Amino acid sequence: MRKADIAVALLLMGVGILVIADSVRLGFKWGTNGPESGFFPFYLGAGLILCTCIIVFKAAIKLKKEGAGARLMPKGGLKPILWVLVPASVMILVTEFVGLHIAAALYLAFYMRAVGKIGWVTTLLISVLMPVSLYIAFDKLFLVPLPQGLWGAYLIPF
Amino acid sequence: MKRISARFQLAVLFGCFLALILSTATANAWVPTKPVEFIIPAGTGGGADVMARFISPLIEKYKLSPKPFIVVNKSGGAGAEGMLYVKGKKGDPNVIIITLDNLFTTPMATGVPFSWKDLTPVARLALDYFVLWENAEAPYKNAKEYLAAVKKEPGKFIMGGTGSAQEDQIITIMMQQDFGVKFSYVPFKGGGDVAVELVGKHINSSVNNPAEAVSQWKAGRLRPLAVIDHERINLPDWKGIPTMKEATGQDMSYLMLRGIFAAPGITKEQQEFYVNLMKKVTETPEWKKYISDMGLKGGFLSGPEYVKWLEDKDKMTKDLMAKGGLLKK
Amino acid sequence: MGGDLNNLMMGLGVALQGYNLMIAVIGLVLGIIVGVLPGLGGANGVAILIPVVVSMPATTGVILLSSIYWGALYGGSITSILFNIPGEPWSVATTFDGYPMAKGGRPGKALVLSFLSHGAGAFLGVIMLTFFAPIIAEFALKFGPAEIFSVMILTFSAFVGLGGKSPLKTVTSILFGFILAAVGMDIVSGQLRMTFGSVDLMGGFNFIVAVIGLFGLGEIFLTVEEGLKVEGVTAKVGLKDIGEGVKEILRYPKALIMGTLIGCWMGLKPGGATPASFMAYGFAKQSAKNKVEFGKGASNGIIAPEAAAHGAGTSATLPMITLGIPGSPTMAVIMGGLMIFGLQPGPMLFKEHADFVWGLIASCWVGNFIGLFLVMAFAPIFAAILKIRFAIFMPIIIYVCAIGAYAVNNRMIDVYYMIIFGILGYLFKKLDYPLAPMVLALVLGDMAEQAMRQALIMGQGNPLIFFRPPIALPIMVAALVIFFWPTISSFRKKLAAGKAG
Repeated sequence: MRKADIAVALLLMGVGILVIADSVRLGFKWGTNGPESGFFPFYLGAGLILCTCIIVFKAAIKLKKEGAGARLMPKGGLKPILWVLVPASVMILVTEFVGLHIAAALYLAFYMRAVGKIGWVTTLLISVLMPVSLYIAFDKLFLVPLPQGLWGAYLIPF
Repeated sequence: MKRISARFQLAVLFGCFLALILSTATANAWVPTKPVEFIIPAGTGGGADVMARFISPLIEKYKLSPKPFIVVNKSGGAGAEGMLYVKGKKGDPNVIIITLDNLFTTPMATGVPFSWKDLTPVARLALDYFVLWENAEAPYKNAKEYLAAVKKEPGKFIMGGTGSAQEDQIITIMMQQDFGVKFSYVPFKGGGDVAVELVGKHINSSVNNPAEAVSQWKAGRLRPLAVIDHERINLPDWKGIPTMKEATGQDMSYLMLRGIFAAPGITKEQQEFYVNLMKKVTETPEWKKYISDMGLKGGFLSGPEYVKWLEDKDKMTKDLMAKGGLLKK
Repeated sequence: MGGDLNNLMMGLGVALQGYNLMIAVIGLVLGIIVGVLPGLGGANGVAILIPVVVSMPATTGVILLSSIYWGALYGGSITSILFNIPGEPWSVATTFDGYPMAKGGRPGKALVLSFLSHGAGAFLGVIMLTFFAPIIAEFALKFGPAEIFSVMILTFSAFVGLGGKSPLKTVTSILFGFILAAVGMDIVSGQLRMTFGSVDLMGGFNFIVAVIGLFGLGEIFLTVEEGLKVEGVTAKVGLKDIGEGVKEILRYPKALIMGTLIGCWMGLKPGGATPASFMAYGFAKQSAKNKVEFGKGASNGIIAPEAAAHGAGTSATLPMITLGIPGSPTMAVIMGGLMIFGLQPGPMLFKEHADFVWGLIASCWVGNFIGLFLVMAFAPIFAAILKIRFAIFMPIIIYVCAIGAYAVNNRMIDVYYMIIFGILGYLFKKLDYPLAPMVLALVLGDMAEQAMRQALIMGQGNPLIFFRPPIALPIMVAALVIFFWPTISSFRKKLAAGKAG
């Protein structure tokens, strides 16, 4: 837990540094008519760096004194999370190629079958009907074009 | 994966070929093969948005296109997002964009790698006027009196406008230079907001488009001082407003583009389709009523004249922005 | 006033015609659907139907459009309560207590409470709209940038103490929210901030995308880590829940009235519904006796923001009718619709097309009333979704979330952001960074900074403009008092103790 705490705080600190760098470019002073573009970001970034420094410092002391502390996630907690995160991320990557609806059909089928151990019939039914109905609802009825990816336009020609 | 894609591309190529033969056989004209994305480089509710959302059902009503026009807002970065999106759709005939003057001002002010020359010009639909407005309860009866008062106290009078380094601020700068006055310019998100701030007396004047302030004017809350153009607005309601020259003796003109562009690299036939379609749109009675309701200046323009007009406008905008120190350093 | 009543009756006569009534029901159902789906909002529903509406008589057309709007207002909170995923921006505050209540086994009660609060908020809002429209509109005009800024400060101070265990992390989380809000175009100077030349960053971070990730995905990660405990929630909604919902609302009249008033007032300004719901939540918590229950499924924690959201939604129609400015994106699209009918929204509408305006106001009454019954009838169906096996509904939710994230701005990058925010939400939750203040900062950051800088230009750099009477001064003072209240009260206690000793 404490190591994760430090890592996240360091990450936020990095954001703070980026923000300050850009604020300096924009001008961070109090101009004649109020603050310049970078004024708020500058102090926000500075504040973020200050806060995260203290968080890191505190956590580091505790880490030294009391050890790593409780785990970030319970034992065996990481695996189910990855089982959600990885297929979802893959779905989004695949979307870039075949479009969202086809990617989602594959994703639904994979997750239900491989992770949920759902029967074949239910799996197929849902993973086909769901994308088809959402495709009709969004792309056709509501005219909200969803991502088609590189080849999606050719895969769903209607 | 690769083999499948190659096969698909072959199939598609063959399909395109077939379609080409078929289309040349039946008619010479190209028509959209799938829904056309109609991009708005601005948020919902602004002038460009309202216009696009007005045009798209008109196209449907008059069956001007076999496929519908789907309105999509891409307003990020003062419209840069929408413009770059269309720029990136090279050769895709099913994307068009409605533009306003941020077509010129946004790239100049932010340094975004984009120019209108990256797109295929389709047509100029209309021009939008600017009018100098003040609160109806203000003591200044005309533009001359108002500007004289502004001159007396530099920086005390507040001019509200839409966005920063965009048309409203450019006009403010023009006015400052032509009359030797100094306003405090306050940017707001949209033209409607500006009109309301003026009704609420939080600002002293605005250069709203007619459509943005017409309702408050008719309700007796705002007073038009002058039209910022060489001629009066030739519409029944608007004829009574003097031009800048009549009101102050100093000529001044700024008109905003309401135009259509398509993605770069499309064929002549495809461009032709959109030009004809837009021409037909501007010939409908609904459009004519719209123009007069919104206080726009009709003026359909396409082909080389449109490009020429764009070039002039581009140069003028750049000059004005350079003078006002609004160009990206 | 008597004239108003006559007009209202006339309007009701129009709205209650069979055909118009049927149109209203269709609009409401459609509205509920778009409201439920994240990323799709009333604006989409309205925009789709504009071509259909063109062929209708003006009053019928506007009844259809506004019914979609009312439906979307009702529908937005359903997913907030059931899945911790807000369907609309103003239902974010509903997740704070609605989701814990549903997770605690009472999804039916949470839904009923939310719908009833909406109904009550709408009712009070519509009364104000009907009888006080012109007065309220005049009052709204008094709000310039300085006043808006004071309201923002008031909202933030209402949220003090809403954080987690560590004040340090609360501050960090707020700062991070503000930073995310600042990315993109700065409208005051016209410069691009913190985009580092990237086109994707130019559009900034959308609040809904962040919330879908932080709350929705983050919650899914937490759930699977605990071993799919979501199953087993008995999700029956019966008449008992309705009775209990009514009882709970009567138990917390303060939350209801406070929420509605805040909503009606904030709704007058564009984009006011979201801050209104947050503000109502903050104040309800500050003034509640059961403070400890907040965040764990407190009834008044649902009532206040929901009443505020619907109150704001109702009063957002006011500036459109009376001033010609849309109070929300949906209203903007409806306004475009009005113009197709040749109706120019704004102060003249009341005078030139009174029949139309009163038809619209009457449809607010009818639409909200029918809407309440419709969502109540739907409630068991929605609650039953929770009975579906986790392995089936979880991937569907992620799919729908991806659609929602994309549809907000039609950008693929938002879908990636959603995943990143999901991981961030999980980590923040685990490490005790409170999410609510961060989301609040993300929503209001831009607005607050803009208002502040606009006011400063007007005041020529003098910050005293934020304390100008008659409106900014009292609001600012109230904000400061609320902000420092914990310090003040502890000081007073010490003083009293010192005297006693």
